[in-house]
This record gives sequence, structure tokens and C-alpha cells, in this order.
Amino acid sequence: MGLDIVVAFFLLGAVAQCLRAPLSLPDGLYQTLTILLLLAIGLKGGIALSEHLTPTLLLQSAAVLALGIVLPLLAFPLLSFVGQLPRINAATIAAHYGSVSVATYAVGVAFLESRQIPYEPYFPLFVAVLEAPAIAVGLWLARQRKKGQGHGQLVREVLLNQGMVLLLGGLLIGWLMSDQTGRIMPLFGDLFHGVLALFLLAMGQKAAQRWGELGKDASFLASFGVAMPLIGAALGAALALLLGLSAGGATLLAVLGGSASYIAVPAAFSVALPKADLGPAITASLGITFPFNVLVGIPLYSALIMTFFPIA
Amino acid sequence: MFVYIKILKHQFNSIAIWMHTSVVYQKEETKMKSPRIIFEFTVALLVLGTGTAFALSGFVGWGLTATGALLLCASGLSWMQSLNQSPSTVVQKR
Repeated sequence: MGLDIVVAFFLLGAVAQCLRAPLSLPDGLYQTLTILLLLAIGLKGGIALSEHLTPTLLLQSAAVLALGIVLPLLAFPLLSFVGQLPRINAATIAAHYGSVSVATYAVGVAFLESRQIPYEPYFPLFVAVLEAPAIAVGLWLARQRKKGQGHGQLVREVLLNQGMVLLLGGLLIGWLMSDQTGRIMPLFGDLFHGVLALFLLAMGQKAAQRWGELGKDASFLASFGVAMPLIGAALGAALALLLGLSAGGATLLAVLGGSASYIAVPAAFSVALPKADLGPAITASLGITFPFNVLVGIPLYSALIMTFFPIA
Repeated sequence: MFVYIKILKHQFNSIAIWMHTSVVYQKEETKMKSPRIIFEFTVALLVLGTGTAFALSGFVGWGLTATGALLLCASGLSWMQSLNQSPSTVVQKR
């Protein structure tokens, strides 16, 4: 069967929620799984970084950072002029679509590993690089920062949110102590796919809960939630081609370009823009874009890249 | 037979009224919402068309086609809902 086994757990969670089955996963478990996934991705990237840190990698990181700036600038006119959403809401949703979802990235990694497609192992660095710029661009687009608020709290929320701390922390530990990671890898490496399956079970439930909250803009947000990942993925794949990444790397950059944040950006915007309505943004990214990427997007990006791209 | 013709006539009249309302609404109300409606239908049709072409050629599964079909249904429903809520419909009902 073409469906990846970890994605089947996402469907199980979504179907259980739609049928109102009494499937209650404790919040603590969801938090634990998130921490495990972020640390596992960070550690893996750090180990790779200790072997691959070159000036080329810094150049690639700068290009990926530029992608993080361009994506919200593309999303904003679609939301503001085509969707006719208020400026502040358009900027908020644009920031969500410029940033990345670590869970989508994890599914992308699992997809490539299950098909034994090689990719650049230092990709977690790009995940961390892509987290922050969209938040800054989104705030600039909204241009309605809370009066009297210092930059300190915002910078703190952008750079010291749970996702960033664990991802960068794992990256740093993996990089500096790569010779000792063998002792902890049974938990963070061997159990990765099992942890991801449980995490996706919880995510399936959360995504299905969101479907009822789309409101009056439901059809526009659904169209945007499908169109934007396709645009982002195309840009990510094009950038991968320019940077000379492998086919697996191009797939992962397409996945990152096509994914939308639902953890880091809401946390930052709730501090910086309390007036912003985060509901539509989280619902679109978690309820539309995440399921689309997991069920349709990732296999599609991979198939297109493997077929049409002249990369090794 | 007569009953069937009556039902058909009634249905025809309903469709005619709905189409007339749509035209009036298109002229008066969709000036504001037209980019959004065009965007929704364009995305739905593009996704549906591309997905079907890919699936028929055996390139990928039917996921993209199903997504396009769902988007088309959502866009159609949203458009019809907006017709029912338009001031011109309210005026006609009055």
C-alpha cells in the first residue's frame, strides 16, 4: 500500500475524532512526544554538522533564510488583496505560512528514510534557520506592534520559544559531543518512527478538531491552505536546484517551503500582536495545510522531484 | 403525468429564479468578493485537473484529485451561501 505507516496513525487520530470515539491522549504525552521529536531532529543534525560544517553550508543557510523572508511576502498579497482579509489577520496568516512545521519535516524525513532516499544530514539547521524570519516579516507587514512594548520580550519569544531552544540545543549538543551520542541514540534515534507515529495520532485528533472552526472564510482558507504549500514547495524545490542539493534534500526543502507553523509563530504573535486573531491562522495551518502535506503533498513533491529534476 | 409536469415546471421556475438572483448578485455584490471567488475556483480546478492528469498517468495517487474535488465543493457551497445572503436576494424575497 502506498500510504506511509506513520501517516496511517494521523488518519486514525482524525477518523477517531470525526467519529467522536473516546480516544483521550493526555496533554503531557503530547508535550513529551514534541520534546522527543525536536531533540531527536536537533541531535541528528548536530552529529551531521560536526562532519559537514563548511563555508558552502553557511551560504546555503543564507539562501534558506531568504526563502523564509520571501514566503510571507508572497502569502500576504494573496490574503490581503485576493482574500480581502484585514491587514493584521493577513499578516498573521502570512507569518504562519512563512515559518515551518517541525512535525511536517519529521514526516518528510520518515518518508525519505522508509524509501531509502538519501538527503543532506544537516537539514535540521535549515529548519532552525527558517523558523524566525517569517515572524519578523509578519510583524513588519502588520505594522501594529503593541505600544510601549520593548523588543526584548518579542526577541525572547522568537528566539527562546520551546521549539527553537530544543532544536538548537539538540543541534549544539550533537555537534559538540558527537562522539558520545551513541549512548543516547537508542531513545532519540531508534525510537524516532514510533514516537512520530504516536505524535501523529495526537496531531490527527487536533487537526480534525480544527475543521469545525474555519468559520465564514472556510472555503477561502481551504483554497489558500492548499495553494500556498504548493507555491512554497515549488520555491523550495527551485532553491534546492540552485543550491545543488540532492533529490532527497530538494524534497525536504520543498516540504519546509510548503509547511506552515502552528506552534512557534502563534506563541510569538500572541506576545507581539495581541489584537491579531490567531484562530484562522492556526486552523488553516493545522487543519488544512498539515493534513494536505502529510497525506498528499510529501509524496507529490517527492515524485515530481525524482522525475523532473536533474539533480543527483 | 400532469403531476410530474407540475413538479418539473416548479423546479424549472426555481432554477430560473436562482439564476436570475445569481446574475443580479454577480452584477451588484460580487464586485467586492469576485477576486476571492475567482481564486477559490481557480485553485480548485487547477488542483483537480492536475491531480486527475497525474493520477491517470499513474504518476501519483488520487489524493490531489480528491483535494481538488473537495475544494470545488467547498467553493461552490460558499458561493451559493453568499448568493442566499446577498441583499439582492433579501430584496427579492421581500
